[in-house]
Amino acid sequence: MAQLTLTDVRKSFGTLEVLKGIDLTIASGELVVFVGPSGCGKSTLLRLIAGLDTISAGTLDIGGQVVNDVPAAKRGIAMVFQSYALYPHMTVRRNMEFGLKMAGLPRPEIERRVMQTARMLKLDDYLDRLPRQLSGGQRQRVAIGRAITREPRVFLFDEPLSNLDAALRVATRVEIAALHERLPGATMVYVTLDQVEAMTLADRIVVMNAGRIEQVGTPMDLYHRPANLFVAQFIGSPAMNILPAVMEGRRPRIKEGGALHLGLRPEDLRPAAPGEDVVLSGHVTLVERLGEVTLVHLADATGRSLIAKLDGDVEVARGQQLDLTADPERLHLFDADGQRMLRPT
Amino acid sequence: MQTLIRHPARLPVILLLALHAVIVIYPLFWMITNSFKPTEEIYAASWSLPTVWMVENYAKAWRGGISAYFLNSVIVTGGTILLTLAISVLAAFGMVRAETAGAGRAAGLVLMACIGGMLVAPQVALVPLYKMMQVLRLQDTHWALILTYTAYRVPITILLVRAVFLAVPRDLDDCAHIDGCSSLQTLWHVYLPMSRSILLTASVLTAYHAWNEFLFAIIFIDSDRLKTIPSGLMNFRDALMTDWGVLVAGLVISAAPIIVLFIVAQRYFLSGFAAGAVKG
Repeated sequence: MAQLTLTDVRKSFGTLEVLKGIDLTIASGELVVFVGPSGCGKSTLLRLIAGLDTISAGTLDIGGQVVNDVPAAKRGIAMVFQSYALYPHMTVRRNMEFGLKMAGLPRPEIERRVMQTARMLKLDDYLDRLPRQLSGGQRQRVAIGRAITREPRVFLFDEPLSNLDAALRVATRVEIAALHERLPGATMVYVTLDQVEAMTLADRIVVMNAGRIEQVGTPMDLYHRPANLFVAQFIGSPAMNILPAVMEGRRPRIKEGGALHLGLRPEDLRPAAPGEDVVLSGHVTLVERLGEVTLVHLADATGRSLIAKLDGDVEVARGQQLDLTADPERLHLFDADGQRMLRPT
Repeated sequence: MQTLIRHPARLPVILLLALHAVIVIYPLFWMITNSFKPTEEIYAASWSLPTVWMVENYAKAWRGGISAYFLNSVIVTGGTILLTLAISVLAAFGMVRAETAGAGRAAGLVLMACIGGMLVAPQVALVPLYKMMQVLRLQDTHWALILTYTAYRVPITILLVRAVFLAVPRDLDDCAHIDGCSSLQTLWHVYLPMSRSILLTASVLTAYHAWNEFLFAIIFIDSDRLKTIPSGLMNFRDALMTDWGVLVAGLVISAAPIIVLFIVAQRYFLSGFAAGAVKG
């Protein structure tokens, strides 16, 4: 159990500054997910917390102690890697024991922790197998088990599900969520590119871009109230449609050359009934039927690509002209700098 | 045979391999059969099987000094293997660490030095090495051979080991770091166990070189009691009356350990060599 506080944390490689001042507090027992595009610095930030790279400037505090100069093994952290990082020449049991042996724990304590964790993750039957004799999902469970045996103050997950197939990814995601429930005191930091993982697992999400934090908030906060255009387009799938707009009285209106940006989530759009206000219209360029929903790609009069997520059974065909509407409270408005404006009414 | 019918294009390859097998196996067969013959029979019927199998040739060779030469060869070969592996493993680990830490240019220089070291022929360095051994008072000691053999084996061993070390995932390094390993502990607990094949391969190649080396062995060692098998076998030749049966029995004793080593280590040897070949 530990609170994590980052104060103006910076990281440079030579003259290249990859983290440009990170300020963040993660409460004890919280599961925080870092998301962002490749190269945004989220994995670098995780490595700084782990102690695998040195912090160029700023302070990192774990449980009230500044740990900038504390070696990784003494920070009370455990890390689960994307590649599992299991020692291939050691059995599952030895993999789970290794860190504890290096820490000089007594033998009975090591055995107690390993057996307890193995039971918790249903790994009892695999303890004497080598990693290569396990499936991808089992290997990742061992990697998670190895982290648990350390009884760390902070768990770090570096894209732990990226190497798994779709079905295993869902199953392991559920296991991690269950693990968070079972270890309520454990602080967890989770890095991913997958926003479904972020939305489903996180107590709070940290959206990063180009070495900075764009927004920190609960998943629904980020979805409903994105702080800027980047977050608006990063959270949600398919991405939010952005159109130029101007204010007419208290209502925004789409207008070419307008200084403002109007955001419309694809799932908030629906075909306009006769007499209803048309928010946008265009001709259909592609229809993707996914069963539950249908993704309709449109091109408006200027040729701009838009996307709408409609009912699975909606009757729409390629080449058709389609008028769409949305509830006014579902519109998102951003100023010329891309920062969120108060929701228009 | 069925493979041949299905893939007739493989016939030349199979014939070539068969020819190579004959070239390798027949001298061994000749050596073993003649080691059981008296000298007269070797001259009279060199290609036939012995009429009487003279096992005492081996006893005579062993008593005639091979036992001491054998022990010297074991000491020199063992020392060379240990020293070569120790230096190469540390150097390769340092180079790999330097490359991942952004000091690739320094590691590149060491790599160039290794390749340069492989290009120096032993004969070229013979006289300077001899003088150096005199200055260091190492001439006529086992160290003269161990150090020289090590110097010649280290470059190729570094290249082989480095190629395998480069393939160790960076995440394992990080994981060991989080588990509390120092650099040397990471080397010991992670890199070395993962490189067993190439270490065994390097050991076999080093043993092969040190066990059979002749030039330095006859130049650097004068005392009969310190001689290794290749130079010691020279003593079995006599200007007037060489007992060829005993001499060939000595050759068999000399070759046997390396042949056995190759057979025992064959599986690891092949996989280690392949790993070194493709991951470099």
